[in-house]
Parts: sequence; C-alpha cells; structure tokens
Amino acid sequence: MTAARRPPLLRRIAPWALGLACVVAAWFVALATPADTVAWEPFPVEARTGEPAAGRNLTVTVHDAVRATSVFSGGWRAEGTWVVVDVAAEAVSSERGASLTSAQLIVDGRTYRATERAETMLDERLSIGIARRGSLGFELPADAAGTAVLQLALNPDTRADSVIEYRIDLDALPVAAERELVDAQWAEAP
Amino acid sequence: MSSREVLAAPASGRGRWWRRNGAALLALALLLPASVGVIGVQEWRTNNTEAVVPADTIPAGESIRTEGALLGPVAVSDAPGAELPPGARAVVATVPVALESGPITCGVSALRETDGERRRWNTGASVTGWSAPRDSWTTCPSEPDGSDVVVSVVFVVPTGAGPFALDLLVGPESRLLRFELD
Repeated sequence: MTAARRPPLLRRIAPWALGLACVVAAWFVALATPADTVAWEPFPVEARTGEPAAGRNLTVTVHDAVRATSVFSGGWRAEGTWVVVDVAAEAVSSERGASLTSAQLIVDGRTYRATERAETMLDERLSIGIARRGSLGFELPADAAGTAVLQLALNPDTRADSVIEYRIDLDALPVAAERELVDAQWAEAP
Repeated sequence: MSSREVLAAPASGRGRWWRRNGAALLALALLLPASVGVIGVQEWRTNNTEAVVPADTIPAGESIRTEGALLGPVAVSDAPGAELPPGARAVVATVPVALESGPITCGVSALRETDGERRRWNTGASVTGWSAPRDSWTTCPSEPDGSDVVVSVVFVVPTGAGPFALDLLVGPESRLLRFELD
C-alpha cells in the first residue's frame, strides 16, 4: 500500500535534476559575465593612413609617420631615435575639454608620451568640424622595433571614452635624417 | 459516497499546481515590471540631474532684467577680417549689459546649437586677423567705467552650423541664462 502512494521515480528525480541544471547554468553565466571594469573600458577606434577615424568627440586622420634621427622645431633640435607622426584632428560635438592631451606610443608593452619639448599637436585645443594639423614626436630607445600602437585621446583618463589607435610597423617606417616637428595649424590654409 | 470522500477527492493536477504557485506568479508579475520601473526612473533622474537646464530662456531679440542689470538683446555677427580655412566662420556674440545697481558678475559659458547635432562651442577661440572691439569685455568687469557694458566673445564654427543660443552665467550663484539667437 505504502509503495503505491510514492510518486513515480521521474517526479522524485526531476526537482533534483532541475536544481543541478540551474547550478550548472549559473556557473556558465558567471563564466560569461564580463568583469566590473568592462563597463568603463575605453573604446578603441582603428585608424588607417589618410582616413578619418571618428570617436565620441574626436576625429583623427593620421597622414604619415616616419623615423628620424634628428628632429627640430624653430631653434630647438634633438638627436636620437624619433618617430614623428603627422596628424589632423577635430572635435565632433563639444569643445568642452576638447584638447589633444593624450598622445602615446605603446612599444613592446612600454608607453612613450609625445614630447613636450617642442610646440606640436600635443595639448592642442580642437575645433568642431574644422581640423587642426601638426606633428607628434616620440623619442624611443635606439633598439625599438616591431609593432607600435599610437593612441590618441582627449583625456589621459580614457575610461568609457574612445581612443583612436593607429598601428605602426617600426621596422618598415621610412627613415629620414631629420624631420621638423610642426606646430598645430589649420589643416586647410585660410 | 460519503461527504468525507467528496472533500478528499483530489483536484486535477493542473488546478493544484496553480493553487500552489499562484501567489508566487502574482508576485513575479508585479515585481518584474516594478524592478524595471524603479531602475528606469533612477536612471532617468540621474540623467536629468546632470543635464544643464537654463534658469531662463530669452527669445531672440529680447532682454532680461535680473541680478540688478538689464541683459540683452544679444546680437551675432561674422567677425570681420578673420583668417579661417574654407568651411569655417567666426561668429561674434555681443551682449549689452545695463547695470542698474552696481557691478554684477557674468560670463559666457558656451554657444550651443539648438537643433540638429546640438553641438557646443567654448569661448577662448583665437582668431587670427580679428580683434575684439576696444570697449568690449569678455566677462562683466568688477569695476566698470559706466553703467553700460558690452560683453563680446568669438566662436569658430563650421559654415552651416546653427541655429544658436548663447549661454550666459550671471550672478553669485551662476544662474544660467540662455539667449536664443537669430
């Protein structure tokens, strides 16, 4: 009589199986859940030579990059291993905080900030829809080689903001004996 | 059939399930939309708190009496002699300020596009070939020469941008006045 009242085996096992399936599913969900920091990671925007790359409030066109053993600007000159990048940049929607304050070159895991020793595009105030153009200079170790990534942003704190990225093959760069670091000016002459 | 047997008669399986889970389902039906609503309202409030809301919006061609001064009407014109690349224009915004009870504090916050992309321009643009009128100021002076002051600022904008409004911060509490422009 007692055995007759017991629910069938499947109905007794079903809740346990369902519970176990939920635990396994939760484990997969936890695995697939992005880390907290993902919410404010920068948004990289890949730039190609001569083509505008548009981020949230920054549009950049990288015109060219060369390697030089000497750079100059006005009466200033410096010898070394330099990478000089010619860029044009403009703001998109707001001039508030729209200066090119973050320009760095990542080489082999190391970060090199654009030189402040000459007047260049670094810290240049940008206009909406009207490009400013000039140079950015990076002094690197003599043995710098491989792929470098130029990162440009409006603020050194790039959390939840776009970062324009341009890949440079240091080994394939044209080499110039000297190169001028050009101060920012309107990309198109008045 | 006895009455005891009638009471003990099993309900159908589906009916039992609904009786057991009805309350939980009802709670779910109420709590799910409530959660979405609460989170949505919270996000909306955060967004709205951070938005810039002008204390007063002054239609084009009109002025406002506030903080002991009569401000406006604001005029805009192209900066003569400005050397700019093709596709750009320099816009000068001029704000007459009639001081009625001594000096006030004021400064232009931004030029805003009131339609389309709603872009925002800051003051402080340097425009080669143009200089501000000699008797104008970029902010309200703390020691004005007389009771009439002219605040004049320049912005570099792409041709075709607009229509515009000029944001002015006035008084010790920086009240935001938005002057619509023609």
